[in-house]
Amino acid sequence: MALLERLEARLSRRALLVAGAAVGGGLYVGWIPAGNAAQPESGQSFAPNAFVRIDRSGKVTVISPMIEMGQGTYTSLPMLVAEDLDVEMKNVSVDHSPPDDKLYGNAHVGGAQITGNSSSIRAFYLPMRQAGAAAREMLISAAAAKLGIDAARLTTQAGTVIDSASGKRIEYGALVDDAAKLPVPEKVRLKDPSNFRIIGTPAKRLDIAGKVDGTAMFGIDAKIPGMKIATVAASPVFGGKLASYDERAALAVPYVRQIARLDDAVAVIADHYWAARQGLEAAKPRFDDGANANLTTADVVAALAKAAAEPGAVAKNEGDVPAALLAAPTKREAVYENPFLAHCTMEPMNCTAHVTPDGCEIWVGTQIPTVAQMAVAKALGIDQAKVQIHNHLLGGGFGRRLEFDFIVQAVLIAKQCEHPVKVVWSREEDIQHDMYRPYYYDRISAGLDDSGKIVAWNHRIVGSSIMARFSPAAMKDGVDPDAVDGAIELPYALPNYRVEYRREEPPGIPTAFWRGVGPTRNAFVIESFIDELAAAANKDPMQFRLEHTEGTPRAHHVLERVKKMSGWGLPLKPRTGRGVALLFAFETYMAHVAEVSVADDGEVRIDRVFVAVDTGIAVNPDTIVAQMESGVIFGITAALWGEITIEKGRVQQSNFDDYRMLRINETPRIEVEIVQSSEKPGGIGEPGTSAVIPAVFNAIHAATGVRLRRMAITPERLKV
Amino acid sequence: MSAAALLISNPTPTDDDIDLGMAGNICRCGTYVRIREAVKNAAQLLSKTGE
Repeated sequence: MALLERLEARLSRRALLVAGAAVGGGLYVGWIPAGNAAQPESGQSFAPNAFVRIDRSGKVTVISPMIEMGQGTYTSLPMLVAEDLDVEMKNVSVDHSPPDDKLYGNAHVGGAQITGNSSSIRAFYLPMRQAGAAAREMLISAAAAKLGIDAARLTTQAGTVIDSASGKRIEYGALVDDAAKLPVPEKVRLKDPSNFRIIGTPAKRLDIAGKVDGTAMFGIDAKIPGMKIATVAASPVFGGKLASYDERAALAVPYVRQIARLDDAVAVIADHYWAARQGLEAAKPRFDDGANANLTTADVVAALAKAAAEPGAVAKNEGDVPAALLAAPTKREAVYENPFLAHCTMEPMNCTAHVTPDGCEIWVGTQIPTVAQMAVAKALGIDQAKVQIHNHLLGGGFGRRLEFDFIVQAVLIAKQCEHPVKVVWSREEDIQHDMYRPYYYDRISAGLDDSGKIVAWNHRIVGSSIMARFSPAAMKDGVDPDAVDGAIELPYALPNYRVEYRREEPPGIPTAFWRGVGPTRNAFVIESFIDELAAAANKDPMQFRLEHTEGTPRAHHVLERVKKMSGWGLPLKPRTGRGVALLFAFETYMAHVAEVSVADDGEVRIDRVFVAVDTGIAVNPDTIVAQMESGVIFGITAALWGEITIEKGRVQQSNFDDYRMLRINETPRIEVEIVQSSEKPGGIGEPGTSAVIPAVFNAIHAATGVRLRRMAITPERLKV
Repeated sequence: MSAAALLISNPTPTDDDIDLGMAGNICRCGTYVRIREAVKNAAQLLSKTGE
């Protein structure tokens, strides 16, 4: 298969399959960077167990390089191993990987051990399958030696090697020690997709049982002997410093043990959370607000608008946009705005840390174990190898847990104590000390010819550069690749196509990746504007998109499918409308149709959402559907109410009463169709949120004739 | 817990009953579609076992 060969060639340049005896008996198989002949070293007391471990009872443990934050990685990655290893999922369990970029680095994010950017399947589809296939071949070789026959006679089934001629069967567990002594095969043969028994099936999630019976361990569940619990208040104004607090009043609260002071925050350490919380209230901390004391959202927007008037760094420039715009008989232009958004993971920020003269031990749920390890080592001025990180399941990541601010904070608090400390943020602290999806201000214009075809496209994207902070090496000539992601590879025919990015930082406000990353902001702007162009061309928005995707069959196809699924064109009640949005991002194509009703008072209700998604090879279709449903709900929440506002330098929202989340009784019926495909797997965690937002805004326009160019939706503008 | 309480007071909930009964629980990961199905399944299982 040509696709696999290409992926294999790329992989073999980068990494080398290794195998050997697992600690405690059994076989391990894993990957090390190519050109590194030495055994994998992990810098931990953890043995070099790499990716897959098979023990003497035949139990398979997959050490997942990517973390589980509900998106199903802890099932899909083991499925890939199980398929080519030929074991049943019921004999497979999964374990967290320790921090080790060399063993668990993600090629899609520069080789670091980072879960994000919808890359888990894309980065590990081949390595996991090859690890499974290699182990299987080694087990067959071991069986062949044991039986004294040619390996070519042997087959496998559900964890057993079989010689059909003699009827002899040997279970994997009985072969692992012998297999571990064999050389790892140079070239492994993967199963043909026509023989798949696991990939492509809705295999039961490995993490569900624990999450239902309470045995699942999230970071917040860590229980370390001798541990105390702390909660913290940091300066509400970004950049402010701690000035004073009432230590005596705090210590007077029963069960409060100690107060810890940081530059910009005070922490109360107690026997339990409630005491810590009450202690913090009694402490009444005061802060020197600093330079951003009077910052408002309006200030941020004014600065962005000013920046948007100037040219930016060129991210794409095809044809001659100025000339084509000038010549176009029909022109449209608009300004679109994406507000600050909070992550609101249901598990608030927390981290348990124990700092001793020997080093630091941390229990946390993180998307970035090695980056966190480095940050902690730096904060404490110790060697990275002295920092142990125990990862956990994540109660929501969404990009918030790509950051280490709360981890370093916990470590600096724990440094002031002898015992381990679990620092837990209140919901208010979590919302007001988030690292926000940045405010983006976009100027977009286009020209149409007489037949209603787009002849010129000009998009200027303005906002904070997350990448410049997160991974400066990724910046190129002033262009932040995330800021223009989803804007420079549109699946539409655009003969003259220009995209610029201009960096403008909001003073003091920390910004970070939020589910959907760049595409989530760009999809809102672009897919809303495409509808505006369709109107200018007097064309139905679905038809307009179909005409412009004749050259991109996979995009065209998801549009056709969602058109059918949604009954596009069938009559609807007054003040009800359908909106469509198309997205190509993370190597996945998807089209959403939202059906929305707008009440006379302007309240918006999303009644139904239809999704057609082409994500290439679908490893676990149920997980894909789940991610689409999840993304839709996450996106609708943002579309309806998502807005973090700043007044007097501080975030005004604090909890779910003023930062509203969609409830079950507000959730639409969601239908998802997965396109059958043998293309290489695309990503699924991020894009689902992005496309539903413009679909909703387009539906509102269809229902009311009102074009909203700014999230969140303002019912006042939609009143009858 | 909400689902358990709902099914104790209403062993044969309609879809709307489930939505209203569970409206107090927020799921940030958006599993509501599956929560609905799960409560329906539980109701059916309970009616079969007569518990």
